[in-house]
Amino acid sequence: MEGMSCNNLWVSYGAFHALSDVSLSFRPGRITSIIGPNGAGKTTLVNALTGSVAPSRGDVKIGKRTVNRFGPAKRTKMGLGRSFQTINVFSEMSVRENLELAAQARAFRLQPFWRPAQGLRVLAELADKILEMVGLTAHADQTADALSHGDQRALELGLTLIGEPDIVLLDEPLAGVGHNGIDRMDALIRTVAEGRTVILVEHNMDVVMGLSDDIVVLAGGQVLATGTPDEIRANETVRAAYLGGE
Amino acid sequence: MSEKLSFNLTFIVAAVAFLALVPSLGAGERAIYFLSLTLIWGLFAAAFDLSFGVTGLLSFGHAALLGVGAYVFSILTADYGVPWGIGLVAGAATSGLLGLLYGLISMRVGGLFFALVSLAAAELIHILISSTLRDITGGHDGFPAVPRPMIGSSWDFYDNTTFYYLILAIVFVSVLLLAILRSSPFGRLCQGVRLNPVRMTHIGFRIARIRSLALLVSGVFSGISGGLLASLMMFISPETLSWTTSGDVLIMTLLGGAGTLIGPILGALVFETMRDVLSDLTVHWYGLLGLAFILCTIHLPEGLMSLRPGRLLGRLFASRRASKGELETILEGESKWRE
Amino acid sequence: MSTFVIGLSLAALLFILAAGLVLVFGLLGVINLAHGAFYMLGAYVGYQIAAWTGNFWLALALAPVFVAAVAWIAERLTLSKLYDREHYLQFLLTFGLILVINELVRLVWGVGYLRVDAPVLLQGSVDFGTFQVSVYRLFVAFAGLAAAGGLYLVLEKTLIGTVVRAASANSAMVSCLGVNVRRIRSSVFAIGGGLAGFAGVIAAPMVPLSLDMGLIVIIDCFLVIIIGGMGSIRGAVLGAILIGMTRAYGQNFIPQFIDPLTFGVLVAVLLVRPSGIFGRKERMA
Repeated sequence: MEGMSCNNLWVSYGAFHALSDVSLSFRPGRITSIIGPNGAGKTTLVNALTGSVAPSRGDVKIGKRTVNRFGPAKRTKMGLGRSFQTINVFSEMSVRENLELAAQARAFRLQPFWRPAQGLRVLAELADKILEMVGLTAHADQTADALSHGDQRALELGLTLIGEPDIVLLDEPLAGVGHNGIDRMDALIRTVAEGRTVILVEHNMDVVMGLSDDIVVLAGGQVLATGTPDEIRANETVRAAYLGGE
Repeated sequence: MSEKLSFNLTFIVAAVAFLALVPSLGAGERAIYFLSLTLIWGLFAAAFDLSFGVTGLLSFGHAALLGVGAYVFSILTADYGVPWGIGLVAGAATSGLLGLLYGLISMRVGGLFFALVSLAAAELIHILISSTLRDITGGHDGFPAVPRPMIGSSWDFYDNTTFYYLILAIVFVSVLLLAILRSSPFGRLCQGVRLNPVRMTHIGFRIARIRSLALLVSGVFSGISGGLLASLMMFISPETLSWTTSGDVLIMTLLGGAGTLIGPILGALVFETMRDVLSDLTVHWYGLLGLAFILCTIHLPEGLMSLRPGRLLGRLFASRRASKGELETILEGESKWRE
Repeated sequence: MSTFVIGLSLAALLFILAAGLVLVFGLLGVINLAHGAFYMLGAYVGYQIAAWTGNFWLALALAPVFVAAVAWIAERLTLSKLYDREHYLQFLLTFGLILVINELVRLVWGVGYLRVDAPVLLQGSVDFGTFQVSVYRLFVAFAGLAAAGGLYLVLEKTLIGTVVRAASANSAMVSCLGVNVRRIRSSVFAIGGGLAGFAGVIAAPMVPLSLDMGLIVIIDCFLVIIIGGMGSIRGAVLGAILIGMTRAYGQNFIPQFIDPLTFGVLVAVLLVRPSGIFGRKERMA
């Protein structure tokens, strides 16, 4: 199982540095959470890790391989999965079709063009597995944009997982999820984390403290602190800057 | 969402069966010619929709895909004595390559800018054919004496009715292939690229490749329509490569219903009918069409196919469920802030 | 040298056109395909006014206003209904507008070529010894410069300009501040049309008036904007000069290959900087 790392990562837009000299190591098989105030550079970091944004300086590694010049498609093929902060599904398609489409990347080297996609067993099986995992089996034939927000979040996660990634980047998976949905999501993330490396960006402190093995605190594009949840909770700088008094 | 292949196939077979009987039902020469023309434009519109409705690539340069296929076919068969079928395939292949070139363009410019660059590219090709290469193409005057096929000694394809059957057969097979492609996993990839290219990239697909392939196939079938058109009219002119042709196929597709197989073909029928009927009434029928098109974008953006009873109901229910989702989002969002 | 001035006059024309397009795109987010049709309308209306009054300057003053009015009406009746829908529908609607405007022009003026003479003041050429320069083309070049300067002043230095820039950045916010965004939108579309019409009248003494004059120029205009970077006035200046000069010098030395050459410039720029020279550089995810 591989982890990810970034070394001396800079992402700059002219004179503005979204990320300054960020060096982090996401250990394999662990859940690492990235927290920090809005504008801290969390999404930029996620984008740099997935390859949507090219670093101005420094590098990003998957395991031992430097992946700077690879875009998101290639990195996904290397085992990286990403979920999005704003729900990013295929809105006109049904839940099942969404998942089957995503499964095609895994299922075929050469995408078949001579027979209908509907009813292809290999795709249906992969989709059924994920439907079960995220709890959407009952909604399989509903159109994605007709789902409730919580269910859309589940689909969002499902699309990330169906490629069977080794490293999973979750960008605010709890955004907009109501109280009932949080426990469901928490359990889901724990299930996902088994045998995988998880990098989680979240604002919900209870969930973050409860789930994480490691925490990274980002502020103003720089790393403020890293450590276990207890260490971070005790860290004076972090408390002053971000957590507020307990 | 996805079109049912079974629905498309049923429609295609029924339509072809009916059309095959039309000459025996006493349709005159003019009607047969009209149907031949409509079939060809229908195929062209279906090819266009693969790029536009399925893959989300709005091209204003499809006239070149039609025209290049037409010219390559015409020059090979008329000037070099190449057999009709081979000429048609050659024309289709050339248009396919041009489509691939458009695909390369789409890697650099996205969205509506692609439409603009494809317009420029098509105009360039238009100029190349009408003046720069006029020695081979006949220039502004057009290219005459495009032959009909010579297949078997008992069939005279210079008889419009006989040729109509051949056109029907070729268009039938082509539309069939398009139907299968659209419903295939590859077709789903194209839909995915249209709906959410960012997500597609993060799933591991190379969207540039998918777009290029879609444009290649779109080009191939556009080239076939071009060759058929030239052979039908026994003449091809550079006018076919002008922006009005690109506009025409767009109007047909939108009017009929972009994103469906049958819509654009239906749109071609409506368009050709309007052209036939209205041009007798007024020389300004094209302006009226423009007006109709404007109204279509405002009031009927999904074209005539959206008036299908099943579709109407489906969309009604979908919008009700969607608003429930929104409300939930607002409520859930509120609780998040309270933490 | 005279080629240089021809290039400048072409660049000026293209800039005035491109500025109108960029303005409309910047605020409304609409790529107005009918921009070339407005240009043509300006030329024909200018021709008509000059024919009736014998006064080119009157035509120069009034034709753009007429075209702006037409643009305003078109926006109110059609485009404004599509603002909360996908962009491609708005784009397609402007295509429909081309067909309607083309037909209206055909209805009134027919299909023949028309010519407009430059005003007496600007006819003839100036002798610089080794070369001659057409007075009218010099005038056009200066008009372009004036337009560029004027646009810069209005957008950067006046209240109206600030509001327009703000509205293009965040229209919802601006409407919360009590500004009538709908009216601004109609106005901007009208101004864009007016600029196109102005370019049309100015171009009239230089080019033959025909029903496809719009297409010929609009493609170059699109090339200018794509090369310069969509949304950038500075880019439009650079792009206009590049295309204008290519056309002028190309016409002189290799007339048969002008169009491939111009297109080649576009391809070259796109290969090096896909978002245009002044466009924002973003890696497409």
